Amino acid sequence: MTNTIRNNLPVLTLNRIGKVWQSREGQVEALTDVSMDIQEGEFVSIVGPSGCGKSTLLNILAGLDAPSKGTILSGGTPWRDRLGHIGYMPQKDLLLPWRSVLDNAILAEEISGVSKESARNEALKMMGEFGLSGFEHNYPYQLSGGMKQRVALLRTVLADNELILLDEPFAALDALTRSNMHEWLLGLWESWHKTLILVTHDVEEALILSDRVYVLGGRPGFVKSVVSVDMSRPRSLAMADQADFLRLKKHVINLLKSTS
Amino acid sequence: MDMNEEIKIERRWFASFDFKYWIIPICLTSTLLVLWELLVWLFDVKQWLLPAPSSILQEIFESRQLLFNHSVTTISEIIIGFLLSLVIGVCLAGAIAYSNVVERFAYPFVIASQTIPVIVIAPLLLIWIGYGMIPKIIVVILISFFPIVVNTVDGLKSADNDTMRMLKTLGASRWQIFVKLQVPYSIPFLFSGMRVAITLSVIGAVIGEWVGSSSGLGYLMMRSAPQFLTERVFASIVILSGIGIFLFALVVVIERLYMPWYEMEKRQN
Ligand SMILES: Nc1ncnc2c1ncn2[C@@H]1O[C@H](COP(=O)(O)OP(=O)(O)OP(=O)(O)O)[C@@H](O)[C@H]1O
Ligand SMILES: [Mg+2]
Repeated sequence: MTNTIRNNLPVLTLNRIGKVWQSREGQVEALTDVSMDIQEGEFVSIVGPSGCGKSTLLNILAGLDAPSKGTILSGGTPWRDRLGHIGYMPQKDLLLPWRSVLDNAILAEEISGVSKESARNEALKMMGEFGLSGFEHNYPYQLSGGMKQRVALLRTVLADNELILLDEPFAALDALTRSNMHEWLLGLWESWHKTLILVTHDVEEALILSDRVYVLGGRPGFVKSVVSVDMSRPRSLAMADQADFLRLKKHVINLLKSTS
Repeated sequence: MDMNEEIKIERRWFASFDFKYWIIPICLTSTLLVLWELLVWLFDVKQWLLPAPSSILQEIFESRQLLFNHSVTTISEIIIGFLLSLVIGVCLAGAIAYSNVVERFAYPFVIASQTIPVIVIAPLLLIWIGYGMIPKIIVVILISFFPIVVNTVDGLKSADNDTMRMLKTLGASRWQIFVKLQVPYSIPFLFSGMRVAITLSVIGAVIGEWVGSSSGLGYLMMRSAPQFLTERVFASIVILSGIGIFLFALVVVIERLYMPWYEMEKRQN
């Protein structure tokens, strides 16, 4: 990232972001007045009902779409050239079917001009950590859903950005695989010290993983509330059974249900 | 993470050569041939009117040198013409897909070139260029570049928009998206265009020869018909079809070798 963080200013600030989609049927207001502050190294989740504009928000952050209103800052200064400088894992894995696992993973480095050879060597070292050893030369169609998601995440991670956005990365997985992935991601993030923004439907997922949870309301999307998760790190999935956690979970679910 | 996750193996129809798949067409063809032979023999049909399969076969054997010499000409025209239209078609398709200006400028000409009957163009080529192989090659190109261009443009343009945006977040430029996504995506489309183009190339070569030539299977047919050498006309048709089927199969084989997902299949087995 271009802006190194001085004097503890947030690594990412969303200042009253609004988005109106223009379509043939008219205008759709997807987001209104969304403000957030995200500190360096934080793990932040965004939860909200389907269609409340979560993906729209990430697309704006990644620099793919322009906001209709508001500004995005980093370290207190406007941050315009975000496209290509923020890691983004979209809802679908979007692997290229004609590339092996290894060659899908190194896309970002290849694009930035690193030689395939050295990019591959680097990616090979990560395969174990991502549970992909032995599958380096397999093709996407030979992988299970969970593995595809991990390849997509590896591709995002190898782009080597300080800020990473994840859009419902585990939504398509079964419960067991999903909690395996949670455990794995926790371990990974705790050793990385990257800033992570995770969009999800799953309140438990959001709470167990993150430092703070932004709860959005829908149509148009707005920030209902911010919930801090004051549980110690490193976390484990077992924490989901603790009374504090359950109370927090209930609180967030009530927030989601409430109409205002 | 659990390493024993299930690996999905997708089978494709061409993964195994199925003998049963071929039994029915082979039986059907042989039955038709036997029937044809019997009817010709039964009603004593004259050879110049409709030769029996056996006499066509005999003609192929007896005139093998003649047929071979003329085939060489025709095959050369087909292959040179096809390869040139492949190069022209792919370049044109790339330019059309990459630039809107080129698309608006070139597409009308590409389409117009298909509305003018080749039968009309061929005699003009004869006047301008004369006999020999070049006008035939031009006819082959004119008739066969179209499916290559249209299919490849379709392929280049139908690459998934979400994947394009994903590449942008990885920092890809327009050109990198073209090379790393659109081009590989269009390869199967290109091959289906090539399959059509190779068959059209055979027709193109024969039309070119009909209009004016001194060798080639098309020429041989034209010369044999007025002499009532009907079995020779049929022999030429058989050889020509054989060439067409062979070249078509060749494209299919290259397609399977080249297509990455076929590579995957091979790795699996
Ligand atoms: N490109 C677009 N053009 C027009 N409208 C859009 C576009 N993208 C999203 N929308 C609209 O914006 C709203 C928010 O969509 P978005 O995909 O951001 O929701 P979401 O919170 O990610 O939903 P989900 O949880 O189902 O993924 C929806 O009403 C959608 O129809
Ligand atoms: Mg979404």
